[in-house]
Amino acid sequence: MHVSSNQSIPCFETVYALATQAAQAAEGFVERAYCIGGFTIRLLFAGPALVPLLSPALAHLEIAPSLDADLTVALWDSASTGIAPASLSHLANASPASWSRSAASSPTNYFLLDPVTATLSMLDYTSDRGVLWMPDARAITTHDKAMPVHRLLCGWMRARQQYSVHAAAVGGAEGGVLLLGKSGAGKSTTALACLAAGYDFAGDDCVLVRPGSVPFVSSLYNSTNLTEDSLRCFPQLAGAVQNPTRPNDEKALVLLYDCYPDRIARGFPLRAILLPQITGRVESRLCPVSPATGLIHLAPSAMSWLLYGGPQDAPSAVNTLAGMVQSLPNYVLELGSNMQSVIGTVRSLLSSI
Amino acid sequence: MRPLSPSDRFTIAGPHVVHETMDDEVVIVNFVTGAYYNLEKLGTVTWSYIQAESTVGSMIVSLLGQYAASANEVEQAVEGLLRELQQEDLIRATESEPIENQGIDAPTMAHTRQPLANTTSPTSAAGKLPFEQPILHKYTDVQEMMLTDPVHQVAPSGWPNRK
Repeated sequence: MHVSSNQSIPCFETVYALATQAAQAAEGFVERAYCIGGFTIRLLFAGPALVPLLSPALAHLEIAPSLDADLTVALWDSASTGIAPASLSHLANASPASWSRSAASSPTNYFLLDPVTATLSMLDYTSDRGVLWMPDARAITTHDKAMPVHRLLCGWMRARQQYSVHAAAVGGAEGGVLLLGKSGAGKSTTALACLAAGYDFAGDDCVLVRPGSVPFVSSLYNSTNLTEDSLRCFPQLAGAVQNPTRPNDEKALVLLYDCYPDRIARGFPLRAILLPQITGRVESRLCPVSPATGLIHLAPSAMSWLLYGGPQDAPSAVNTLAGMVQSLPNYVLELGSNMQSVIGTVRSLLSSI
Repeated sequence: MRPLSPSDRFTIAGPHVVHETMDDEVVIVNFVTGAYYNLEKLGTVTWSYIQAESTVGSMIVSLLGQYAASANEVEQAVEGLLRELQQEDLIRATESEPIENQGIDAPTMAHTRQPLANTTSPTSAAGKLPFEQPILHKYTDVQEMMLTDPVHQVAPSGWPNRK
């Protein structure tokens, strides 16, 4: 179902009201609050079914419940609450695999129907509320466990000039590095090696960056997705794999807050941008590159904002991100096979800037 | 496709093309196709002339003043790059008044508006930059997703429907 007319997009208020009905059917909302990027985000789960599935990846950001939230998201599934979205009955009665992805955005609203994660996400920017629905909590994907409420959080944050980027980030209170690159470039390996060596970790696959006079990275999730090879490099994480019986093409999900509760940071200032590249050498080293090279590695993140909808400011955001990469040193991190050399290279950089 | 004329001018194809120039590199993003690009050196200078809607002839004359190359080399390089940028929907031919005539800052190079036929090889390579063919580096890793999953932008008045 690609959205071909406005009639195909459900009304936000109608869908949000269904979440409230679902909560009543499931003996009320279960509330969790998180501090993300300096904002208070309140998640209202209709009943307990989704709580243990969606909250662990955000556990390091949890704060005391607050009515004074900046964003409130209501979440429910139909299977555990018995509340199906009447306005979306054609979806509720069909297998998510048969859905076609559809996304739409306006200055006031955001809508995403995603068959891959079997979720419907909606945002109302004017009231700072969101809603997330799925047919059945038991069918939740590993992706949604690793990056819960992802599209809603990223869309809402973008409107506040905090941009989700496909990157890892490690460092400390004084500052850290943003690790940019495609899957397989060595981001996770570098980030986990630094985490194991005592550095703070702000994220692996997705973090928020806030450009400005002092660019800042904020954590979203404490999850990491590891290939079998990566998992062998970090045997201490093997016992924390959340999906031990995963399909062959699925990575191992590890929630790092379970393993390193004191080192999962809410964020830190950015001191440099690193572009990891796996080499055949033993030792690692840094090679300075131009800010344009850094921006090229950020461009896919900017385009994914359009792919998944959200505020229509992705083009201007590219200009903003360009300012950020120009304000920071950019390096290719040539990764060697000696893990201690990887850590030492990052340590030398952070101690020098 | 007709040959380029010295009086031809080009402009950025539209708001779907976002570009950032940093030092001697430019990064260009096409938000319709999902492809992104970079240019360096002579390509970056040429891009700045496109932004200023300079004529092809003035671009070539100006580049000849900066790079140690023959007129033929520069003409072929510029024409090839302009064609490639057109094919990628990053620039389009324009008939409008040049930006440099509209009081908007043009590139700092002085543009002489001689026809291509009057251009000559530089008399000396001394002090000039070494000539390298401009290469439009193209990255398509997210292009396929963009093309198969269009996002529908909805006007404020058109959505949401209050029922």
